[in-house]
Amino acid sequence: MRILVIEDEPKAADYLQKGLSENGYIVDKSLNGIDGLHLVSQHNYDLVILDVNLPGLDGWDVLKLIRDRSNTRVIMLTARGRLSDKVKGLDLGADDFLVKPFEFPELLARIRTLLRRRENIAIASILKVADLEIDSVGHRAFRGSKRIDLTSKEFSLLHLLMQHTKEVLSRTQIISLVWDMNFDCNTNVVEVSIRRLRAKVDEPFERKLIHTIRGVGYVLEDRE
Amino acid sequence: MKPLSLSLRLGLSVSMMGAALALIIMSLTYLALSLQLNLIAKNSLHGKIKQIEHSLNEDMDTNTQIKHPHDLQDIVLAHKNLNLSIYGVDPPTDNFIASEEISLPSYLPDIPATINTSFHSWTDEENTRYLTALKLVKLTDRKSVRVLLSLDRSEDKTLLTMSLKTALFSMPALLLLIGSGAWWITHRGLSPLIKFNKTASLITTRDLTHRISTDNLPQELSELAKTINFMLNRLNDGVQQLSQFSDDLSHELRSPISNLLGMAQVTLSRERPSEEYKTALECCIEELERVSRIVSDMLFLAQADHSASSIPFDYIFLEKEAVRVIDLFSIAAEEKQLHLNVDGAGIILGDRIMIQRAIYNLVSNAIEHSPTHSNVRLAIEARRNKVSLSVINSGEEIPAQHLPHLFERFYRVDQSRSRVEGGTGLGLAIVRSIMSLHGGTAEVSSTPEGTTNFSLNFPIVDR
Repeated sequence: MRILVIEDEPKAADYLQKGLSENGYIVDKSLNGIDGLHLVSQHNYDLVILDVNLPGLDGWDVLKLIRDRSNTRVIMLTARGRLSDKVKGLDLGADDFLVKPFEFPELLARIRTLLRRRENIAIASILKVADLEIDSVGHRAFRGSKRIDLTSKEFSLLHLLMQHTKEVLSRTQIISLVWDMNFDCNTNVVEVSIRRLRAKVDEPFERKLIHTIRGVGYVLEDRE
Repeated sequence: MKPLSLSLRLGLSVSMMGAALALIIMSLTYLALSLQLNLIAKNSLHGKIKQIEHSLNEDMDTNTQIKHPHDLQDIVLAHKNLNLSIYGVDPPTDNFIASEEISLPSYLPDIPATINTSFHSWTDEENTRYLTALKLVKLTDRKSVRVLLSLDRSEDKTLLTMSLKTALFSMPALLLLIGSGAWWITHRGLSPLIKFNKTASLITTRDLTHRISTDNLPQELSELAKTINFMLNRLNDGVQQLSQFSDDLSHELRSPISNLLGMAQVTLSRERPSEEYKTALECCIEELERVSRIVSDMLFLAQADHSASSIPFDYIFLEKEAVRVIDLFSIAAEEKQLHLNVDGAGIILGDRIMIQRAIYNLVSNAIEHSPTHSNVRLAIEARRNKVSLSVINSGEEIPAQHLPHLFERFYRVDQSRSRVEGGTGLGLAIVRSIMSLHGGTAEVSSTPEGTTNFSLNFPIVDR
């Protein structure tokens, strides 16, 4: 998967390139719109990450010109979170719109969602990671052959982590997907819930599956 | 062209009106005077004719001879503007009394006379006006004579002309007087406006403290001055709040930023094991999350102030959102051994995320300030004129002087106390903003027993 980052702030461009590369993408970067357009016409990118505030040719113009020549998916980044900007971006053909400051895992999640949209993976009702298995229809969880009792929120949380195994999920994402609260709330509910889930899913067993990435979020994966 | 001053305009229009009025009065006077003069002339002619008739009856004999023409002439001569002619009728004769001073127009002697006096107005070649009375007088011997008595009216004419002239000559002076009078009165009446002007020119965004003094102002202007003063008060409050707010904002941002800077500098000051770098970075992220939260809260508030009409509203079941928020806090409540419950139900129109956020902020505060083993109650009530959601908790009383300020940005009840971990100091300001976007209000009350009640009042939904 090849991604182009068009961002005029060198620091932002660097960390985006670094972070995305470490997550398995091939990343090119460009510090202005004209070079960016040139790269878009030369390579076949799966996704373009485009900053709105660019010198010279601004993000809106670049977006229009990209849309004139290709169907590459575009995520716009902006420091201004006005609703009208968002509407404008989506109207001009952007696929997603992210307001700075954003959490890096959220950007990753949105990229995955956008790139996955093409593939249409059917969601299985039974998920399995190592010896942990859950049945989302029957609301049951097993570690090996041992049944684990979970509250409904704990089950939702585990289900989410297993659906996104190997992906780091931020606290905000988890709150939005499990508790259906769609704003940045400052609560420790995720920490506590993860702690309780761990006590049931991980602590009695030798292989630990739920991992904390401090300052970023949580991931469920088999690291052995 | 520069618009005319108010005083000048009023002065001009008053003079125009004065002119019109003076003209009307003058023409009426002229008319009345000339009518009156006519009447007087006729009456005096009538009287003279009577005298003449009387003396003719006595003096004239059958031979149509006048015994004492002097007696007749005496009647007339006393008035030098009178002229008498007498003609015989059957047979027609010339004038008995020769007075050559005026020559009657030729048609006059031919007009048939009756026993009733008739009057004829005419003008001779020298443009002198005359009024002639004509009467048939029967003599004792049954013969008749025609009596023509003419009155020279040049004096009346002079009088009329003089009065007209006087009026016309005095007109410009009069107009000037009225106009300048009106100008002066208006100018004097409007002089308090200079006060307004002076005050207005002193006011800038740095100094909004000047007020217009309402002493000695006429009532209309005093009302205006009061309104302007109120406006200035409101502006002053707004500007004060704004500058206070930017002070607070820089203060709130300064501490996490200085923490970040310090942490990074200390960490880099010497070589460390990689574990320590990791810890430092994690600390940085926590600090940055706080900065980021302050910034997004600020952004939310700024947007809420401007986007009142652009948000689409849906029907929202308050009890459902309340339960959702309670869910989020169930673990925190459990740790503090608090009991959370929701009762009642109500439907409102609103934005779901914003409503969640408002309830979230209130419940978060309530849990933070509740002692362990207590209750936090969310009561939803649908009343006749509003739907309200109250978050009630027990704890310490909030002193009354703080209550009106609780919803202000960055307001602290306890100045010495620093922000609760992760709090931005904007939570209640956001609640108020959300409520005003929904056409509702946010209120707080606190009893001495320590029961604090924050309530959100929504307008009822018309269905």
